[in-house]
Amino acid sequence: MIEARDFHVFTKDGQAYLFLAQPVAVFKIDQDTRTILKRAERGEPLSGEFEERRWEEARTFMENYCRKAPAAKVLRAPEDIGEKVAGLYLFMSQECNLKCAYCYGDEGEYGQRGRMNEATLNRTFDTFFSGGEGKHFVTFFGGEPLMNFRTMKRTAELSERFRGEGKADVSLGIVTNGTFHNEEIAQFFRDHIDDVTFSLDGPEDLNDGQRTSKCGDSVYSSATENIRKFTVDGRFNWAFRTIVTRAGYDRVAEIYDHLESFKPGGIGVVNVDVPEDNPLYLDDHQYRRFIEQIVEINRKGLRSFIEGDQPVAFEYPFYILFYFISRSHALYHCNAGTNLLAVTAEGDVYPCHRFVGTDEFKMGNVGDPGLRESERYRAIRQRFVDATVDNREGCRDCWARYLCGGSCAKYSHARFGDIAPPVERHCLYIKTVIEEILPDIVAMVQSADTRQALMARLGTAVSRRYGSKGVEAARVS
Amino acid sequence: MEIEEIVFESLEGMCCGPRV
Repeated sequence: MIEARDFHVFTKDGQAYLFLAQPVAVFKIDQDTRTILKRAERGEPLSGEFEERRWEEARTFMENYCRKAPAAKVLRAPEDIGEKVAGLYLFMSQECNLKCAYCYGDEGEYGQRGRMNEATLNRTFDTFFSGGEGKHFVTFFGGEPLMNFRTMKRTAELSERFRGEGKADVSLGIVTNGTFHNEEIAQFFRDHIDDVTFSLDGPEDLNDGQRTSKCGDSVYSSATENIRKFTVDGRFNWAFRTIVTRAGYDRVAEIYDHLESFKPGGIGVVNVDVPEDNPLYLDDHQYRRFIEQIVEINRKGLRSFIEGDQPVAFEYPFYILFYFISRSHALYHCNAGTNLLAVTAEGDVYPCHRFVGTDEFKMGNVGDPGLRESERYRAIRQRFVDATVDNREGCRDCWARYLCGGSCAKYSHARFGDIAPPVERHCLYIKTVIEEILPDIVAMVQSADTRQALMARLGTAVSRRYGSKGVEAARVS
Repeated sequence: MEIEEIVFESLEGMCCGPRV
């Protein structure tokens, strides 16, 4: 029996579409069918024999399709979640030389100013990386992590030792404001860092309006000069992390264009996370305008991808394509609380960097004997294992749940005091992106020319990353 | 009723930096 949460109808440019959640499938449908299915989806009564008959016909089609379609691939089912902590945010420094207007970490100090020492670092590695579990990803975080360069260097030495002893293969990354650079740091990046995220909010007036330095210098000037030095020889992958506030809500395309001129590997743009009474907050109109621009930029990215370019903003078409091609279900927003954790400068363990300082989610300390078997650690971990979209109130009845994975647990907790209920703005964002971009993808898949170009480009993207293995994978199709 | 399936078969955790 198909339920209202298992299908969704929408219209784009006069064409009606039907989406089926379980098999991850999309169909073009006629307008009469759309009208009747929309009523059924909303739980509204049908009127007359024609509508009843059409609904019965559509319902039978949907149920038959769902029964015959291949089972969807669950990306990460609760029973698949192992004990390995694959990702770890290490708070090198809970100090910062900046005082960004929107900082959620209280100027990077999180209420507990300090720097991670060697003893805490050693305990962290012993706690999480001693199991011979292969690849792990460490992200130097803060505050500004380069304010504790000494412990960063020690982390690299420890990583080498653990690799040599067969305990762990640790890949190092960093999130930095880009204002610290000298030849020793640059060499360290070249030798030890695989992934870098530079925080920069776009053109100088926008960036320096919200990312300000405690000493009064221009952050933009210093950061961009250093970013060019750091990235000149391309020894690591790097991306921008960009916050859009009320000051820049209508300048998203300009922000992308500006950042793209630095030739990053990616640009991660998110709207500011501040209370409604904060002057940086985007009101509902501004937030919708922000989404419109993100959609348009990604739409442009999809077109230029087909034409052979390497667009930086192509992430949404890419991941929507992925879900439909592989018929996949996402049950979680991310791996927080289970395979991803954060360790503060003092060694306190939290589900991720955003929960740091929220006592309810402190899982223990790396100095605690038997930390990972402790009752508190297991209980908090289990809360995150249980938080699938099938269990989360507000997600379980949503048509987009398997393409979404739910909203960020921290955002939910900040809003509702509970990690389960989704944040409305996240829902609006993800549904808008799907309804706007999926029809573009459908048009490309249905046209022989663009379909062929799309497949060739995807094959190239895969092979570029995976070498001959990717080429073979692409050839199978 | 007109229903046309869009077939994708023939093509057969921006958080951390560019680790995708």
